[in-house]
Amino acid sequence: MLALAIPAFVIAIAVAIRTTAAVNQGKKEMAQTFTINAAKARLSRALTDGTYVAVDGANLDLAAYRERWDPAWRGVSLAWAALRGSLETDFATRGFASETQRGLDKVQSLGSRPRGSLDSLHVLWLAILATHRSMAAIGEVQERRFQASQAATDAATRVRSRMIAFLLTMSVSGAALWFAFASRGRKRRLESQARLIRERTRYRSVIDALGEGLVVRAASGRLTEWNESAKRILGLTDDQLAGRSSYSPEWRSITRGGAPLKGEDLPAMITLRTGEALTRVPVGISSEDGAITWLEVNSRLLPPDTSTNSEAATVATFVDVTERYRLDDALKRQAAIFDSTPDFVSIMTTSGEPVFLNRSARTLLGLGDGETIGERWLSRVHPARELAFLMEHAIPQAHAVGSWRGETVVIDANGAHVPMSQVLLTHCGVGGAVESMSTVMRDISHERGAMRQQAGLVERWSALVTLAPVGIFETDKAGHCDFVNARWCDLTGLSPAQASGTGWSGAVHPDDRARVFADWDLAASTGAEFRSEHRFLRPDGECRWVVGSASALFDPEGRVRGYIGTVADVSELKRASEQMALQTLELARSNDDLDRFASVASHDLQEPLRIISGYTQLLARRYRGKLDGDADTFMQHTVDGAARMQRLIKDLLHFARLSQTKSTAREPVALGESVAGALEDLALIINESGASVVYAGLPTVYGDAILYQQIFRNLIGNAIKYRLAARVEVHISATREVGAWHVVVRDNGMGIAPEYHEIVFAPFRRLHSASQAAGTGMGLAICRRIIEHFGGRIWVESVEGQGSSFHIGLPDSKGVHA
Amino acid sequence: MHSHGYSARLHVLIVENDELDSRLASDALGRSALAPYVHVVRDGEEAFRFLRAEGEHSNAPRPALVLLDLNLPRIDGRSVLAAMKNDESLRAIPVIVISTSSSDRDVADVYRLQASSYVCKSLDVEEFEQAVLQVADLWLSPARAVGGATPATNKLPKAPAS
Repeated sequence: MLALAIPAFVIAIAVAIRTTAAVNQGKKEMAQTFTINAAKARLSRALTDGTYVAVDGANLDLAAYRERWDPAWRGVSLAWAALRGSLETDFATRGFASETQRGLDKVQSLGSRPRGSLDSLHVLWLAILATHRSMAAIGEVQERRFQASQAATDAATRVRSRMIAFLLTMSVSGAALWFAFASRGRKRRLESQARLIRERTRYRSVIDALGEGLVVRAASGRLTEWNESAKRILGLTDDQLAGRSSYSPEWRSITRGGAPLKGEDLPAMITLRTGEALTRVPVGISSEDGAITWLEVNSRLLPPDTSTNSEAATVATFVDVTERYRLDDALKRQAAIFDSTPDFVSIMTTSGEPVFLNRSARTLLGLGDGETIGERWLSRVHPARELAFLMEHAIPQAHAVGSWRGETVVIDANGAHVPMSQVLLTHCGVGGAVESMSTVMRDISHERGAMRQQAGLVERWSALVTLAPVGIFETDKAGHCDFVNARWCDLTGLSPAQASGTGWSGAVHPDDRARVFADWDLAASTGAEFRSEHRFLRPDGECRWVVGSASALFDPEGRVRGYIGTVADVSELKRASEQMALQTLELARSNDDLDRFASVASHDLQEPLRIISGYTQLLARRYRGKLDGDADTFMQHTVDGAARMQRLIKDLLHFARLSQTKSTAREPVALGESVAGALEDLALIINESGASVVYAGLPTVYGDAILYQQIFRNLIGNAIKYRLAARVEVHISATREVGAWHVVVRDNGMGIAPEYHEIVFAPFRRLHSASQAAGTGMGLAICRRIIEHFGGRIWVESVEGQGSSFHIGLPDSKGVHA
Repeated sequence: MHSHGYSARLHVLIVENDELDSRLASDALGRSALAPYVHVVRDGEEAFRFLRAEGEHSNAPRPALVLLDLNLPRIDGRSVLAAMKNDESLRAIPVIVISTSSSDRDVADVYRLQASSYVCKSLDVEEFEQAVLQVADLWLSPARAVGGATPATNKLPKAPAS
């Protein structure tokens, strides 16, 4: 029995020894590690934190614990050593684990100390490592123990002592089983604890790895938890955060509008009050130096945890949006700037859809606030031709080289086509691909108009220069010719090349050169307009009279830069005027000759006439009745013929004298007095004929009293001479017209047929023979000559058999009244 | 007409180139009751010699009246008239101008030169003689000659208006 048991014990002991050796090995390593760790921790953290002292204390405790148990290990007997070693191992492991846990908890509670976290993690890791090893060791012990109980059972079976074997087996197995069960329960507990630790650690890692700031607030508003990002964003240390609550005035928080934000209005506190989750609430935090950090805060309620007996709290996460807000503000400023420009500014997607249109663009397109232009806007903004150019040329080029500049046309709100200058830009993203386009367009209607005007001016100028019937030349200020038109070349017979420089002066007739150049120099020196009448002598020998004129051209500074002038061909004019002067002279001479002839002839003709008439009368006086009867009649005819000829001569003389009267003095003449004088002259025949002459309201005009009297004498005399009715009636009246007097002498005589209305005013023209009515035919001719001499005119209105009205229009420029 | 019994005969100078007119004027004056002695000269120069009693006319009497034709050779009638009126000794002698012209202007010109009367040479011999006789009698009448006034109402014979 014993013999059977001994081998079992031997085996068990062997097993125990091995187990113990393995456990010792693990403990030894662990001790070394802890010693190193403790030294490191103490060295690096000595100054900072009491917690580490606690950790070190834990380590020391561990060491002490181990030391305390070590002698016992050695003291046990071989048989019990296995069991006790196992137990020892279990206790050690358990104690170690629990001590480790305690240390870890301490570490954990200080989790986010700045420089301690790494070391804490290190400690944590080591603790976990140690726990694992312990677990492995326990597993191994159990295995051995099981093998030992197997061996004991076998031995018992073999010694046939079923009882002993059974007891032995039972005792060993029971102990092993108990231990195994006890170990398994502990192991599970330890594993669960370790998992918790792992999860918590991971949770912390995740929280701290977050870019978002995270803070947990208790219902009091006090901060209970925060992550690394929260510290970074808020720029606060753990201590500062630990001391803060929502109501701390140090926050200096403001709303997006800039109004102060009270503690109870912070999103977290609202959530705490209402239970409602808030997202992206903007909160500004002023720092002491006045810089504002903008946060967008999300808050969510954390329900009370009954297991830990914690009260309700909120978790708030936030991101720093200061930069984004600054960009937003900058964008708003840029938009305001864009809106202030009169240019059309648009930002588009790569497909050309507008994402931004400035105010000018919206105004041009007639878009109201908030109104969008919709799809295919380019085809609504540009006419087809410009659109095609834009799509096929401009946009591809902008994509290729980044920008395009040119001109286009935009259809405005009224449908009018507006010419625009355009800049098209493409904007690349980070990858270098084009992400958007923008365009700036400017209305160039005015520039276009001005250009057209300019072009029109040039066109008109060149047309004028080409078509003008005058020669045109331009010189610099020294008088060197740099332009002549075709007409100038026609006039001078020179080519433009020959005219250039001083060549033009060769065209001027040599006899006129000195005078022309002197005039030119005078004009140039005084700044006056140059005018000269001179000749061009053409190479073919032809001479042309021209009138040249020129005036100075000024540069923008007001200095004379040259001269431009015209040359008009006046050869024909000159010839005509010379001819006219000659003709006038000849006419005057011939008039003078005629007048002198008339005057002389009438005097000289009268002498022989008087001799014929006079001696015939003397003859008749001496021999009347002494010759036969015919002789007396013949002598009478001779005397009558001479008398008529004398009247003709006298009228001719009078007429000629009127035409010689070139500058008769003008004096006021009362026409009423002229009529009275005429009546006195005609008293004899008026009495004979019993004529009635009525006149009234006649004006005073300028002229010669004797001549006006003669007019009335002639007209009244005619009325009596060519009477029709028994009683002659003559009415003389006058009416005022603009700048003239209109005098009418109306009679009830025989009248004048229309075809003679003009002829009666010609000299020596008579409508009746001398036998019908006395007269020479000069009366009306004399009247017309007198009236025309005073700038008036005379004409007749008459129907044959119904009397005549002689009209006299006399100018009244001197304003003499009746 | 009858004689007034003057102690000396009156002298009349006719300055007339034309034979007919000088004859007619002489005949007319011959009919005058005053029976003036008529002298005839043919041009202006001779007229001056007569008036100043020079040359062949050194014995010429001072005329009481001058009948002056305007149309004279060498010095014309206007010049003679002007010279007489500028000559202190001759200014008082009345001058009757005889002219073929009946133009108002010529008449006015002559009066401006201080002629005493103007007689138009009518083609009618009788008419002319009557005019000369009447005007000459008027100026030769001693009472009027002493007065020396120009008769304002002197009616001039004229050709009838055409």
